[in-house]
Amino acid sequence: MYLRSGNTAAAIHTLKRALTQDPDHAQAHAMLAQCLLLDKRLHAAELEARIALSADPEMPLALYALGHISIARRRFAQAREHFEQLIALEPDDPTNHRALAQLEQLEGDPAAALAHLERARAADPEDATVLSDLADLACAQGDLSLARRHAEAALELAPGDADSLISMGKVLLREGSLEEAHHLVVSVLQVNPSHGGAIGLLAQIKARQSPVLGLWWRWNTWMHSLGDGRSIGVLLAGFFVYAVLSLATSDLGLQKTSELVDILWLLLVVYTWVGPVLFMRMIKKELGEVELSRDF
Amino acid sequence: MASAELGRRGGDGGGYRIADEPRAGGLVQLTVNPLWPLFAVMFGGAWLSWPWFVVNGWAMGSPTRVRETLFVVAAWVGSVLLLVALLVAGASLPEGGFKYLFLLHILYKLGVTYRLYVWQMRPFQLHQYYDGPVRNGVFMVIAGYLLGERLLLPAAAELGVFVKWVLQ
Repeated sequence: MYLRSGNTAAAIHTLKRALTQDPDHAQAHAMLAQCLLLDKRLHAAELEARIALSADPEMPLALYALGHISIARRRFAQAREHFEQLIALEPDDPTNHRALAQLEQLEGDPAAALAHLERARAADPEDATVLSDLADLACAQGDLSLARRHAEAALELAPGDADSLISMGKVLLREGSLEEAHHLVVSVLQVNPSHGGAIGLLAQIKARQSPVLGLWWRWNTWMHSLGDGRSIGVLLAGFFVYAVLSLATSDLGLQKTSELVDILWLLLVVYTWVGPVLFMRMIKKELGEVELSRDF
Repeated sequence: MASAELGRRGGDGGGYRIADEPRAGGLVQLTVNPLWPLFAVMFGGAWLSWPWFVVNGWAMGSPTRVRETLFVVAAWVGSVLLLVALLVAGASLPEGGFKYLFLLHILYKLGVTYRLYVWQMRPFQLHQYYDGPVRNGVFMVIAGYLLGERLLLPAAAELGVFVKWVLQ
């Protein structure tokens, strides 16, 4: 129940209480892994999933969590192994095919992702989340009319489904209907204020509304996609380029250029310092204005 | 279940404790936002920043505190070795060329510091989440800057520029 409303803190608290009573409860460990994954506490999530698997090596929930943890850690080969094991265990569960489709998409193979989503749809034609994934895939490939059809079909099956609403929001954003997309995001946040997809889409809408802050948001998204090690590398490379330029222009007697390089660097530092603060304030203000529905 | 040892009892009231939850010790009052030790490397130097990261890790009970401590020890050794290598390589460079080579040492120190910062940010967020005390590190940065500029680095320079570069 807590997880459905996005309240991972309460879910974790409850599971910890359960594990205090029975530290060997494999299902509780697997559910805890899932919650920790949602909170991006990957190290702890992996540990909990492995504890669950040590008790039951074929527990689907633990394999599912471990697959997604591997994706978050960008260990795609391991993720594939877990998902394929999961599909072998439960070939008719559309969730497992959706997971593999997500991995295929991340690895840059939309055709394979589509094939897995079609298998998921065949497994359960009434599953709105599969249609919502199909909408997202079509949207990412730029086929907005197909994306809209899938999103509409998903909403027809499950009118209030958060993922389907967000998929439709993504289509609307790509079509340029910012206000309508915003309206859908707010309707999702009213029920689940910590819905990751909704907050992500809200950030995209805000980034579109403010080009200056949007630039920072895109840069930040890109840096996050690189992972810790590579993003540190990019930052250091940027500093190295600046330092060499500054020294070289000074050595060549180009004082004005050297000063310009220093000023540009300073502006970049200030921008990357102030940008996230302003952007987060904008998002928080927006979230603060969301009135929770009675369904929350 | 042997692997249940991985998950453990302990913490407040003997409840189940998740692996990454901070285990604050007696130094908990000294916890600062890792941003301050990061600033310390820019305003003071590695002599201030790196030991501060170690103390901070132990203060907040970071689950990676042992790794952080060993990393800092290795980083100091690496810093000395890198400087020696740069000095050897720089001997054949024309006048004014060494400062470009020296940038590699600055990059190395920034890289080590960023890595420590990234490691400590997640446990720090959890520390805050559990209402752990957090001190403002700005005074330490200012004091470190003044101490470094007025006392420590000039004294180190007296011993030799190599010592100063290692500490800086």
